[in-house]
Amino acid sequence: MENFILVLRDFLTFVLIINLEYINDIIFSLNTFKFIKIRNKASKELHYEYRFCFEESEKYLKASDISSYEREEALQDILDMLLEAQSLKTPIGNIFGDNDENFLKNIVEEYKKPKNILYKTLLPIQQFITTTLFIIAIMIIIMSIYGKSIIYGFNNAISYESLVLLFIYFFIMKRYRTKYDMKKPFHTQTELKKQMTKDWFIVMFFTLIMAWLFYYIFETILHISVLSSLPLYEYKLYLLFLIIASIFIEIYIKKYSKSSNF
Amino acid sequence: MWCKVGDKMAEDTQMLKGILEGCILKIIKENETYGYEICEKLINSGFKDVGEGSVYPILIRLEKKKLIFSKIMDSPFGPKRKYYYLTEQGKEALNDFTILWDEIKNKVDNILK
Repeated sequence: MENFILVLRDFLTFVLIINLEYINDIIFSLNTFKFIKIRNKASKELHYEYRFCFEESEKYLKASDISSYEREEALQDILDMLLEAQSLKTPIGNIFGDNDENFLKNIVEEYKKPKNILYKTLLPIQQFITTTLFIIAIMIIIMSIYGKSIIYGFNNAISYESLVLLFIYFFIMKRYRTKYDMKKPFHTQTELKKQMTKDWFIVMFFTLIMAWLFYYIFETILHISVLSSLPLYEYKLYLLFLIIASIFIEIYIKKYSKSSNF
Repeated sequence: MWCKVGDKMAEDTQMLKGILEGCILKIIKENETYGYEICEKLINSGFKDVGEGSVYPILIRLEKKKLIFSKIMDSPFGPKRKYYYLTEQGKEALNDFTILWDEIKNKVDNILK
């Protein structure tokens, strides 16, 4: 039974890890939920080539390091522009110019221009903290359900081992998404999907190697057991610190990137 | 042909960006307006190669410089649309641009005569 719980824990961690990027999107969409709802509804009105351009813009802006407010602001405008162009039968080129990629690049650059180092540092940290908290919350809920019937399960909700893996994966995945969504917009879907599948395995493999190296250095060479079965559930103060830090960062980012009425 | 060469040259210069900023400020001063409409007005005024591609980043920049401000309202197409307005700073900047443009235009005209 003990083994079953451990296997279940690792399996859930793995499932959550591979879905991390989507979880991240969901969490950061909560801030601008109303606008996303409008965007999703209105984007269905776009016809094929206009929709393709919009979806590429969505991917590109999601991968960029502008805040969720700025991203939503830009996406609403791009969508409105494309819908108007479609109704007037204006060609895509008239909107995006000669270089589609340049158009998006210019938008991101303009949003990024006056930002200070603190903002640039805080944004990925906040993304990581929030995602981690979300995953921990899910893990604790799931494991507490099992824990009621299986005594062993609860205290092994999530260990540092899983967190380190999450941490490594998060930053590798972020780089990976930036690479594909920002550097190759407007490529054909098939070409992109093929490349993404191939690279996903490379990223996963690299993550596991990194995690193993980390584990090997600390546990085997240095004999420091920072990674072994320390249940994060017991670290209430650490979790509280993460929550408070995340709230403060969110307030700062919101204040910094919020424009007029958004 | 000369026009095309001129357009190409202008496209690549910072000067066009500055000129576009001035023109956009003027368009916004006349009426509350939004990205697509600004672009249409520029095209109708002769800036044939100006797409939203160049206008939209300029609008972001002008807003960051606090020369314009925006209000988000519903668009007839469904999503939210940003309507732009000139700030006091924007009015001053437009005034400076008009004076500067007149000066440059006169100087260039004198040489080209």
